[in-house]
Amino acid sequence: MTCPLCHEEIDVAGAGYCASHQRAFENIKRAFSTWTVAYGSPRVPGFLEQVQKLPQTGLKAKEIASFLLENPSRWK
Amino acid sequence: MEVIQTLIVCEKPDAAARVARALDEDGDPHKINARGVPYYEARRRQETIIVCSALGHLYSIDSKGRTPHRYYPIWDYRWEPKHLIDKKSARLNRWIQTISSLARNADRFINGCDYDPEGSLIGYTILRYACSGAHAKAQRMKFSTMTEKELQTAYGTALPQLDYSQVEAGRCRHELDWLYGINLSRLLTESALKQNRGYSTLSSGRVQGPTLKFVVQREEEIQCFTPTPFWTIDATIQHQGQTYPLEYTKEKVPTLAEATQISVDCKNALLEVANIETQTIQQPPPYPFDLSTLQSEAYRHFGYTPSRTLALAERLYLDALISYPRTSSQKLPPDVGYSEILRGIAARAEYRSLVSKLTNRTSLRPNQGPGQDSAHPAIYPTGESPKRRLLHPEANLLDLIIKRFMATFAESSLLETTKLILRKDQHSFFLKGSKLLKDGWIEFYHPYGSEDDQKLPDLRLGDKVPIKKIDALERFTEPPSRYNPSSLLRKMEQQNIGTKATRAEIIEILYRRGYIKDIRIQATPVAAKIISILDRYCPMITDSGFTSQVESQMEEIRSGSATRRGVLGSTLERLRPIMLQLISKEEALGSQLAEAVATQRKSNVTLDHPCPSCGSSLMIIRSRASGKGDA
Repeated sequence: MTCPLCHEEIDVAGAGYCASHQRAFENIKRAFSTWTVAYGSPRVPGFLEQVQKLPQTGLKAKEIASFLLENPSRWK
Repeated sequence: MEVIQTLIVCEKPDAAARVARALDEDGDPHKINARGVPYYEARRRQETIIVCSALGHLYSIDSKGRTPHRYYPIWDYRWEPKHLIDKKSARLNRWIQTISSLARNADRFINGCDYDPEGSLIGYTILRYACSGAHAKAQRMKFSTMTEKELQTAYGTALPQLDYSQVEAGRCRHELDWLYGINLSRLLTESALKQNRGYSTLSSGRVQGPTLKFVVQREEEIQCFTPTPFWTIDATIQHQGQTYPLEYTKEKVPTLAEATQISVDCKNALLEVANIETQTIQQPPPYPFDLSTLQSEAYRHFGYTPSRTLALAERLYLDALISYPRTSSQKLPPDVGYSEILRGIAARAEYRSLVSKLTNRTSLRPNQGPGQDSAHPAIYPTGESPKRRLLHPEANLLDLIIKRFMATFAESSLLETTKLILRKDQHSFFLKGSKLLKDGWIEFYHPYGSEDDQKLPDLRLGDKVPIKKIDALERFTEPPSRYNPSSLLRKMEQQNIGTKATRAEIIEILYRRGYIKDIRIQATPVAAKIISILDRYCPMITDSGFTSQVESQMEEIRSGSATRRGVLGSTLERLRPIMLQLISKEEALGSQLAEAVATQRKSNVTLDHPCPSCGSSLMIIRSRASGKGDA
């Protein structure tokens, strides 16, 4: 299987992305918990849109955010 | 009476000139030029001293026997004249011939290269191969500065034989680095080349791999980073016409609700001074400079990269203005002659008054640091005045070294810090101020260690003061900073990979290879691919722990507790199976590398902004004749 974002091989069984995008995905999921505490209960799309806009967000995290906005079912 | 002829081998022509001048009775040796190779003839009592020089290494390692140009793996090697290995070193042939002919008439041989594993090895290979085995009877000069006095002492008290532990440590490093470099680099380059997508030189090495991995890992952290929010409280008070910024007790407020509440609670509030905490902090003087600290300070104050600082320091060393710079020591032993150096420094008007403040004291004792080096003390100025007009960066570096030297002898500085604690109900704010009570070493290290006073309002316990402004500011966490050349060098040092002499050069190689770019270092895609492949198939190659272990073993060779053969044997036992495993995966490896190389090549010739007419990528096309580019 290949990563839906960069088409690299997926090494780890059960992962949905290549190693780098998987790491970015996990970072976004973790960040969402902090955002939830910080703002009350933000909605996922709003959160992803804001993450995409922030200059501090890494390129791979932005790619994942964009992918998740287009494929909401991948937000598990 | 029979005249003895001594041949001294130095590392560089400038060093040879200085040694010859120091040893000649009249300080004016005869300079001879043999087909473009300079050497010197000095007279000293009943002795003729011929001082010749190398140009760095004249001998290097090559594969043993005739192996095809791109063949790998290679395990058999031998030392050969460098000009036979590298066409660019063709002129070294004349240097070897000149030294060989001078050796024929010599009765006594001395290695006068820098006293470190590199210098010991340069001298050893020349004496062994160019001087028909003279290494067996050669002596060794040991010095840390190139001042006349120290060179004369080093000559008069030359060690009876070569410093074989340093020679063996130097040989081991070169041989291991060659075996790693040639095998890994050929494997990477050839496996990519076999994919028929163009040639690109790819390389890795024993120290290069782990160093590049630090950058790639950091890049990965930055690329995968997702910021999280927090709030800071931005508040000020006004007192006697002056505005003072306050710090809220929580540096980071984790929720919007809490931040808003603080802001509402404290708007127009009257804060009461609830406590005043004062403490006096004694700041001891800095340690003497070792190379890494010098590189770090030169980067901080002047923006010089570590390799530039090392090059500048070597120029100052060859001019006898500072001691040998490639040292890990942070100690200045008394025999360097503190008073004499300070007297020399005082000859320059700009330092005179500072020196007199030091020499008026009863005793001179530097603040010795923990860094050790068995061969050399910390970096110090010799006290000699420049004999030529120094370039601006050289003058800057010398000033930094002189001031650091003086600062290490000075007293501690005393800093008084005060913290006013202001309260409104459960909310606490701080106002912090500081005042330098005693300059101590800071006066000597100015402007490199200045401490500005931070003034506080004249408030007493129980006084009340209104908040002028309060806002809750939304902020986001930042990704980790990229390395710069100085912080990457520090990381290499912390992880004990490379040596003080080689670290800066390794970073330069990574730039030249196109694996890293910019001053805030970014790893390129091809670098990320190489590290990912090496990590997948042979993690030991990029493991800084393994490299560090080998560095420690080489230090053991230097101290005499390990042998070159032992260290080579145990390291190769681990490298051989890794190479064989990599070769078995050559095709998979090559196809991934070729892909990354092609992508990087394309990105190197493609501009970020698209064509204004059609919107497709703009390519840079270079003229073969002029090299000029057009989009």
